[in-house]
Amino acid sequence: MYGLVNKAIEEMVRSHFSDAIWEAIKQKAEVKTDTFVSLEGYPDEVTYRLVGAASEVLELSPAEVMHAFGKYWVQFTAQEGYGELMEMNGDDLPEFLENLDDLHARVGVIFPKLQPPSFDCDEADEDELTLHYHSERDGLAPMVMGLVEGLGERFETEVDVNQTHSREEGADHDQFSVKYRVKCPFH
Amino acid sequence: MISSQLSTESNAPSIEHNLPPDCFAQIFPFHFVFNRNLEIVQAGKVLQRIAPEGLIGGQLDQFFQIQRPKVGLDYDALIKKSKKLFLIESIQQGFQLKGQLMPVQTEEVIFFIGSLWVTDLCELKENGVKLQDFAIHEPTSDFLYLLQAKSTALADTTKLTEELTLKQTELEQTLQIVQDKNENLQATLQQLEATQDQLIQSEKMASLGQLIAGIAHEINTPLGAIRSSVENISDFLERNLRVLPSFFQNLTVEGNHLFGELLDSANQDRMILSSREKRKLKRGNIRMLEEQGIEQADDVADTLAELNYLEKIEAIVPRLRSPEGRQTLDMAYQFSTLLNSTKTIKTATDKAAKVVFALKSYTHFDHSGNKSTTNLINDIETVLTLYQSQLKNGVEVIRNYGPIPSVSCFHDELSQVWTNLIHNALQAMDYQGTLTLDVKQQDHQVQVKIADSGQGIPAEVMPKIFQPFFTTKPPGEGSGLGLDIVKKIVAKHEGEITVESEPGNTQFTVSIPLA
Repeated sequence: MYGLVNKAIEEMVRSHFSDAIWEAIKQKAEVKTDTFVSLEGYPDEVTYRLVGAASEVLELSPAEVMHAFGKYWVQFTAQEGYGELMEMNGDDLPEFLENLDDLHARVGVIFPKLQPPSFDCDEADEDELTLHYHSERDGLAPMVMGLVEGLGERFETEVDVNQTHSREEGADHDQFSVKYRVKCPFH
Repeated sequence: MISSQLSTESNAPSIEHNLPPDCFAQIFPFHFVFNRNLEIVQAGKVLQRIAPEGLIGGQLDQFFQIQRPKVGLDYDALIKKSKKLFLIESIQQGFQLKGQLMPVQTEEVIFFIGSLWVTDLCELKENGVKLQDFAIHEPTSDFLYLLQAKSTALADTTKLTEELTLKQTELEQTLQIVQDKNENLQATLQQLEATQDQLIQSEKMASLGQLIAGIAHEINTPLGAIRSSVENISDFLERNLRVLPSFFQNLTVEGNHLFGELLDSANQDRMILSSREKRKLKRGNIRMLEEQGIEQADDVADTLAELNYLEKIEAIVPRLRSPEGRQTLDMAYQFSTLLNSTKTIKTATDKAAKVVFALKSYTHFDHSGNKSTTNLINDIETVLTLYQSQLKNGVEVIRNYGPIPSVSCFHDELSQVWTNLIHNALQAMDYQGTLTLDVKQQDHQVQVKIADSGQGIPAEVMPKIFQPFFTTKPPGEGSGLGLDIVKKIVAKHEGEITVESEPGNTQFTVSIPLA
């Protein structure tokens, strides 16, 4: 994975917890790198080790860590300079999710080592859509749920995300039901 | 509508399919078409949306100006530039279009096929354009992603540079601190070196302090002997000074011979006899004296014994009967005592002088800082003289001295080496045992071995013995600097010191180069 992902994990821990906790996680994960370079490719194992160590140190399940990370990822990428690109990708949650695959496809074209995931979006009902998630990596479904919730916050939209199909349980790919409702500005 | 004829080449396979206008508009959302009158007759949906109203039907120069290539707004002139890259700027909004002109001769129109050209995402926002407004195949979006990636990389680089600068500053500060400390250490080292000479001298004096009681005894003993001898002489003179002239005046020739004979006997080396033998001889002499009618035979026999006259007394006995004979015997005895006293004084003076000489040599400190030539054996003997009182009750000193040449050295400092090593050796065996001194020439070195028969140095202590302030002696008895100083002095002479130890034999070997 690109350094940007590891950097995001670092920032999340530092901002939500403390520098000392990050150092403890890094030590437990046996990661010696001082600074992650955003566009440098790192082995996926580094990221998995960091998540595993964070889970132990923070006494959270790996799924909870990934969920929190997904939510934080939206905020982090925006602050890292990708906010305008995100803005250009849609004015609301459904439009953004619709364009999510294009976004990842373009990123994949530019960064060939990235192997970004693929998304597909179907309108299931009014205010409800089905998000299909295809990834070669394991264990990232909770991150997608956190990601959608993070996007909900960004677009001031209430979201209710549920995983309906799981690759871990034998499905072809992960699938989520996303119910959304734009928050009333007066509430 | 684009027709196949537009792009056919003479040898290329014919293209038969055309794009319907709505599809064309979709894939070129920023295109526009103008006719020979430079009137805009068609435009892509996004361009229509972002351009001011009245674009369709408006004049080209009313909305756009051509930045590149440099060409006038003339239909035919523009056709001639159709193979050039065109940069066209919106007059009202300032956005830029990048693309090419494609004349369609049959319809007498020119297509501008291109797209909005931005180098910053802000420009999109300013013109109300979203990424979805670009045709999917167009690389503009990718270019913008790349731009953002570049910015991220740049931000990373900036951050890393800042961190690096910070670390460099910290490193420079640390370096400065290290440099300061180094300078301090250098100064301290110089001070240490300056005090080292003083320290050696102080150690010497400290050793002397420990020796002084013994040395005092070594001087007091001969002084006592001298005093006692002088008292004897004084007594003799008081008693005999007045009678001596008349005694010698009245002395007959025979008496004179007897006097000389008795004094010669006294001056001869004394016979080595056991007490029993002496008693036996004395008893025989008393008997003979009584038989010869000598009064106070017992006293006379004693006096003769004191005069070393124990055998063959019959030769002089007849002469002892007369009063002159007895007086001569008495006077000879007193003179022999006088002689003994002077001999004692001489011996005692020599002994005291030797100690004083050793003391003087030992305490001498050469301030010149130059080497001098010395015989190391003499120096070692000087130290042994000072340690005489510690040696004489229980230490056997074995001297294996070979012929050695004189050595050019810092004589005072080397004396300190022998003192420390001998002192340690004596302490190690608690002043009871054997001190072996080997001095010989070994190639171009003089080798001095000082060995004791003490309990040895434990293996765990061995690596530390030359460390400064390391001592196994009780507090107050050793500074822990002795062997450290020894090592430094030997090193100053470019020599070598080694140690081997096992219970009953500890041996320090010092090698000093001759040249």
